[in-house]
Amino acid sequence: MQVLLDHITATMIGGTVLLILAVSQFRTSEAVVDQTSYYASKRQVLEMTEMIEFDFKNIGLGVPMGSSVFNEVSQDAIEFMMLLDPDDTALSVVRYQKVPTDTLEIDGEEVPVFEVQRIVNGTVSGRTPGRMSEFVTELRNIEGDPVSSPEDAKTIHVRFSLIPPFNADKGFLKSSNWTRTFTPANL
Amino acid sequence: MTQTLMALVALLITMQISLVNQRSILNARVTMVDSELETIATGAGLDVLDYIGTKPFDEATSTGFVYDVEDLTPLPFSTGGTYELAEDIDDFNQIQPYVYTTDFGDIGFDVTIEVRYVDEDDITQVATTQTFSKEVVLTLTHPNLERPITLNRVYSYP
Repeated sequence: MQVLLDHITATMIGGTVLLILAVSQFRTSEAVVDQTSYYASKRQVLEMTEMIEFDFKNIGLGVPMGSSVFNEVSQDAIEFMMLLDPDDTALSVVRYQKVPTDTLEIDGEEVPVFEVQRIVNGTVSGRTPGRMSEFVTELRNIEGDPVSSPEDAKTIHVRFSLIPPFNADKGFLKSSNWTRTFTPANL
Repeated sequence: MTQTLMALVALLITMQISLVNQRSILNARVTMVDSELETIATGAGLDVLDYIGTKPFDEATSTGFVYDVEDLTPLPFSTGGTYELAEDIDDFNQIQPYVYTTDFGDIGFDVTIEVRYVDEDDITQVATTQTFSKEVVLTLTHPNLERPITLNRVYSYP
């Protein structure tokens, strides 16, 4: 009887051990995927910022005094004039345009995602990954308060969020975020 | 009896392994949050440096052109001003506690600022008298940041 009880106890404990190990292994794998996915999106965010910083820092470069810098500022697009290279003789029209790509499920909610295209003089010259969940551009005065008229703008606020490429729904961090408020010399 | 004891030992070892795993997952998550905060803090710091750059180089240069460094604000710079009322670059030196709030969940960073003159020929060297270059050293802290973010920028005149 004692031997039988020992066997039963050992089997139960052995089963528990295996279960703990399996769960632990599963959680570790999930965490590794989560981390990889997050850092992949973080790298993409930092790559995008190079393009965005170059354009938004130089908004209005070469635009004559008194001329309008912005052609459009809306929720879906922002279009402005600038010299892409100080040696250029003609101003370029740079446009950032949201283009819907998909809908993802995050925390049980449907989140529409999009890519942002950089269009220079009518030609697409760059695009973000198609998993952007937020891209906000806002004209502000020097105190940081939003302004409605482009003529009153002294700074421009940019904010965006990118959803990681995989495991987004179960991931620990649901997005990689970035924000800056530029103070272009030419506004 | 021996089997039961060995099984218990196995259970203990497994639980130890599980705990180590949990801790490692937790550390990875803390690092992810730290990385996210670092990115946002760096953006916030650059915003503050851009804002400081919109101010005149010195009180003397806000009213006219300055040719002689002796006309610039002498050291030591005053302290205890406020971010909002600073009128030129050195007014930001050791301002009163200032919190820069971002629009991501209203995350706020405590900002401390130090301003000093640096040698114009070697901006890594701090100068003890007036020069036409001022360095602003900005430090941002947040309870969830592992270490403070420090940024610096040199502003030159004219």
